[in-house]
Amino acid sequence: MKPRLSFLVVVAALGAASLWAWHAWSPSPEKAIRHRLEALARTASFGPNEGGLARMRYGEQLAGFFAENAEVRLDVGNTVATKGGREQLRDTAVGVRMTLGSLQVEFHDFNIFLGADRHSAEVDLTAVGRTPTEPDPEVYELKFLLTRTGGDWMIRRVETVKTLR
Amino acid sequence: MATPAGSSASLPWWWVVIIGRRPKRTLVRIAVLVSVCFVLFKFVLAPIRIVGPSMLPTCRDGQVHVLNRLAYRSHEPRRGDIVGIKYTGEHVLLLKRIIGLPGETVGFHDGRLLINGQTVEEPYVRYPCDWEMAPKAVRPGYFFVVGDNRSMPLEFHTRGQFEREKILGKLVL
Repeated sequence: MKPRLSFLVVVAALGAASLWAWHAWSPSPEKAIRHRLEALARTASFGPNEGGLARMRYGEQLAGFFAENAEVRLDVGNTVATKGGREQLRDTAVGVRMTLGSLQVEFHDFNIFLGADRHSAEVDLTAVGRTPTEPDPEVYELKFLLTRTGGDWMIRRVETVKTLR
Repeated sequence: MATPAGSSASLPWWWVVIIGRRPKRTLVRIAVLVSVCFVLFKFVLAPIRIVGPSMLPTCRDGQVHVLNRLAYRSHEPRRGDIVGIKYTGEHVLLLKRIIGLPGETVGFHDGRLLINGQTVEEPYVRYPCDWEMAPKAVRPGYFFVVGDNRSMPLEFHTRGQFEREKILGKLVL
């Protein structure tokens, strides 16, 4: 290979590697939001044989995804439950954890709409929850409102959306 | 007897089984097959796996079926069609039967479907049903769906109306 061609190949390879590294280390807001919500689903999931320490930290870890004045409004079956504030969300999460033997949460089909200020976002997704007491998974369409605070995307509001009205 | 260079006689049997006698032709075949599958499953068909009992006995838990994405390119959905309805994407779908069309009223009396106040026969409903539901108007551009398993209580059965754009396709297999 001629020296000039080799030089061009090396420059192109370095450029591609830099681009990849830039994408990997500074993800787009959409990607960051997606990772954040996937982490929420992982944190919300728990197995049947987890220790007491994990149980104690569950509420705290989950509340860490929400803004101080966050609101969660779930319209499930014939029940509508609204919880507001990190404290109440933490207590509810602990209560759920005590009631259910295990829970597996998955989020699918993210539709992320970034606000004009790029510091707020709306996300529609499909949430699938599996518990040992129910043979079939529970599926809900959820809408999240998020705000970027101090580099992290915090959940400001979550609500269920009725797919069939 | 001379054997031409590159003929199959010099190739090991496993090579012939996996790659074939002409690797270039095999590559082309693979490329065509992959392209056809991609186009078919991306734009024409959508394979789905049934979870749950709401469409019994037509569709059983664990069965694999196929939706036709192009079914409603030439005509509107019809009563009796089984459709895949999107939540927020194509990963998780609701599979239901259309019973009410835009502008109609849908109700149940003594387990029998009433459309605009008239009883409609539903041969696909095999299990006993005692549902009572006051007539509801289906909004323009919306369709009313319900599952075939009417033996479960009405309040536990996912049903209702949805926008036309939410249909991914019609069940064909």
